[in-house]
Amino acid sequence: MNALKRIVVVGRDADGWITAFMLQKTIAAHKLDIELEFLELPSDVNDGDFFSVQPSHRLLHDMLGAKEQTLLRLSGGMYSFGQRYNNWFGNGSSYMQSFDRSGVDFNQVPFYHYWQKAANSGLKLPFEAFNVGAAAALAGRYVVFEQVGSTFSHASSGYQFEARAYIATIAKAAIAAGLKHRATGIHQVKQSDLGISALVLSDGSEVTADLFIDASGYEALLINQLASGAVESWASAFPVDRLIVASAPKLTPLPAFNQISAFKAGWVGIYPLLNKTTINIACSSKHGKTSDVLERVSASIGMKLFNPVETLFAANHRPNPWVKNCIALGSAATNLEPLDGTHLLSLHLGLSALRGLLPQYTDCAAEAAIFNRSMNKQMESVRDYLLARYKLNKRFGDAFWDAARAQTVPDTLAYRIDLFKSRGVIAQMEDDVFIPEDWLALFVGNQLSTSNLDALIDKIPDDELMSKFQQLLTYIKTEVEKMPLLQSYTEMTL
Amino acid sequence: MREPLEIIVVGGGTAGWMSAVALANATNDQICKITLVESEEIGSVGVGEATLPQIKEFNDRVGINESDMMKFTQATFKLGIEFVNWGRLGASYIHPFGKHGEAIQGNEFHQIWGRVRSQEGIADIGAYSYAIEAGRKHRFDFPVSDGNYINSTYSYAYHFDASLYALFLRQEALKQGVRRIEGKILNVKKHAVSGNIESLTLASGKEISGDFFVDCSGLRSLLLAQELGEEFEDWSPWLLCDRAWALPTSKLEDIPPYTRSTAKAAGWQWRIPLQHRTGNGYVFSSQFSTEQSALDSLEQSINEQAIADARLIKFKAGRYKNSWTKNCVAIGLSSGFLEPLESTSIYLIQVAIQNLLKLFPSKQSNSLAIQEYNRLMDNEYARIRDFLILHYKLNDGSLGDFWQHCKNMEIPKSLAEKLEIFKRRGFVDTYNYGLFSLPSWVSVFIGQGWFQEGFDPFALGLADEDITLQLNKLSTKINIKLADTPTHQAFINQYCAAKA
Repeated sequence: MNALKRIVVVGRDADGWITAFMLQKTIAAHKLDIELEFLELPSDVNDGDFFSVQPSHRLLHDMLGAKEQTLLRLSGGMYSFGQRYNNWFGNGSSYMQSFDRSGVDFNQVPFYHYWQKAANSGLKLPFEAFNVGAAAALAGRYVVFEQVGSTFSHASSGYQFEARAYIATIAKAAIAAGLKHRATGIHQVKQSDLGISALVLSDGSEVTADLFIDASGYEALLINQLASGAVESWASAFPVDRLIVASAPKLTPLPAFNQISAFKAGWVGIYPLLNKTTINIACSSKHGKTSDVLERVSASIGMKLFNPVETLFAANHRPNPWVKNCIALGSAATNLEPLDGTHLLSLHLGLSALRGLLPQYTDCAAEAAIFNRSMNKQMESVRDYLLARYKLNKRFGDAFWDAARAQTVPDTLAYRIDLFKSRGVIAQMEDDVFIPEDWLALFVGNQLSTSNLDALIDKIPDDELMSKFQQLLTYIKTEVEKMPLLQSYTEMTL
Repeated sequence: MREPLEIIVVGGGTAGWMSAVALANATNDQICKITLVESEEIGSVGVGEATLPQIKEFNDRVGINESDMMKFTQATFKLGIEFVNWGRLGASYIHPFGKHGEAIQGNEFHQIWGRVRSQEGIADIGAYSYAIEAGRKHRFDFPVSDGNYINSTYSYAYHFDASLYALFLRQEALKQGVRRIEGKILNVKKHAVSGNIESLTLASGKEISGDFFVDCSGLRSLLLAQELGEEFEDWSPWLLCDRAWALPTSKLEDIPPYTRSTAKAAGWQWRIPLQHRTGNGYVFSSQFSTEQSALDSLEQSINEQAIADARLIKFKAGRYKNSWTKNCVAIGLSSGFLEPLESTSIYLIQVAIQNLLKLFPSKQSNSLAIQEYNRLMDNEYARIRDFLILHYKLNDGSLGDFWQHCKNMEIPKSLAEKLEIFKRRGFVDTYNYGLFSLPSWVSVFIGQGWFQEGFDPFALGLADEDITLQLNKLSTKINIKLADTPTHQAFINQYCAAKA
């Protein structure tokens, strides 16, 4: 068996730079005898492009040794403590989904059952009224707790960044850390039985490696050569085929959350950034002209939109992202619309899996099998989560949404929905990426209700329950009032 | 307010009383009424005398005082299981309720240890585990919660007399309003159309009707198998043992805080130390030993005095495909049997109860609750099954025909992959749901001679001298702490000494 001695990353933009930097850092930190080279392809990033990411993205930054505040400052980034979903079940409807849990379990029965029981008897407060993260987001606060550890809450923030600035910041750090890189194009991918034998670059020179990483984005430049056609289209489940990114002036005071609003032919996201606001429209060209959509969106959100840039989009997924000596990471493996802060999520999950499975030898079929199984299950689970928003929409009379609601969803998702409708229980599966509280917030937010509440809730008398609710509300109100406004917090720190 | 659900628990062993007390504790009279039917005549199997750490959560949840329970049940503490002669004759290792060592620079400890294991001055992996060393030295104290201390790296379980534990729970359950009926069940009435169980007729002629039935009737599986005809999934091609002789003997002089399992010609022998006596048994395959020679072998290998006659238990490894069907859930041996090699019987009862409470039955349709319940239990059983098979598969065949057979048997694909990738690079394909995490798999792999040949590349960067230094430090830390840890016997004497 031959030791793995040389890795080449072929990539561009965030997928390419983050992958190369992550490998560079870990190889150096562990003093590995592995040579790394990054072949940088021309950028695909457009003006105004952005990233909206989950709180878990923080772990990736930790691995890269990036300081949060510096990174936010340099890339015009901002925190978001939640996402507000508007109009998904008819115009005027709305709920706040935070990165936090709602309420606490009593007698080991999930809070949801108590809340639903109270709601059935007339309680007007929404589920997220019992959620510190949601309350803080609505109040425009930056979450800090007076006494860490004294709370049931684990409120956290996702982020959004300006794509160009974010990539430039990471690229600069990677180069400073000694990453060997050159900007080039790939003229030809040469193959052998083992996979890729060499890359012929634009200048005619050849590059070899033991392991090739394809971080070339949607183009999937390397893996497509090895396994052309091995891509599942997810476009019939996700009808969005256009993404339009535009800019609007900065919002003051800064909201502590993003807004994701459904409209006739798609959804529009409003993302507050440090120096401006980014608007992202995800829509279907089959349900209206782009120019009309822009106009309507601009009018409905009451903001003038600058520099709209339209790109084509199609959701897809590669069930086997690791083929022979080539691993596809990020958009080269899976593409999903950024509905729930899922930008860069496939990349992050892929890098984590690779951290545990980086091969010692050039022959790596055993690692590939485990990597593929795990990544496939994880991405299907993410797909199910996003798809649930489409499936459960209640925008009757809009062709786009009626079709989304009428579609047959994968068994895994159908089962989760049915189990929740029947028992108010969230099915937990081995490779879930979104945790039960995320699923619960989504289901409750989408007005899915349960025919059988847990019978054990009756052990707590109604008056006792009401006083427990009151305590929670008081606690949340007091804590949130003590938190700084996001506006002042960022003025001081960024 | 809805009508309370009438729940009938059938059988008064460990499973029956654990179910009854947990149900009673989580509910009240308006939610359900619980009746337990048991027959003194039938008695319980009661081989499951060694437990796993999870049982403490169960006891805490139903409000059991640990020291009272331990006194009542003649309990001792358990830090793990010692496996003797498993893998090869003369081998011995402890599977601890704790971890080995500490990760270094993000590398799992076994990778680090694996790097230098053949070098001079490097001890077996167990020497770097606080739980294992405490076990070997017969010492015990409660773990601390501050992760900075070496004595935070483990948890513990109990050895106890399962019949006394059932009795202890019975007292609790009766206090919490469970109705107990003594009697033998002669007949079961089912609904002609739905097939749901409607009532039980006792020998006395008394009829007990209910909405929901919990079958804790043990190996007979009175309701699930006999009445509802649930299909059995046979796992005996992998787990060949189908008999056990149980033989209690007098107490050990110096009580070890661990269970011992010794591989023998046609199976394995357990030793479970209690305060007042010692549980012994020989689990064997009737294809490879007669009952008589197994009994002889058991008797010859024990030094202590027998205090009762040996008792034979017959079983078959496997489980019923669905633990919950119609209005009946089977909990305990009535839902399946796995030999007590890793003390999983009471754990399986416990998760069955937890899942039942999570999916509490209603009088309306339970079809999705049933589906989810069975999905969760499938997963638990399958994980344990693979882990048990692992113990048999990994051996050098020197113990005889039975072991030759196990060495060469085909194993489930999921398990074969786990073995391959561990050997290749020390990777443990862990999971979030189901029993046995990384240290358990590592214990058995390494303990039974299945070493990694390659490494996680990230573990290759550390210099040998740095690793050795870390290992020595760790070993010193463990020894210093153990020097002021009480002996197991002394700890029992002051915390939970039972009446002699």
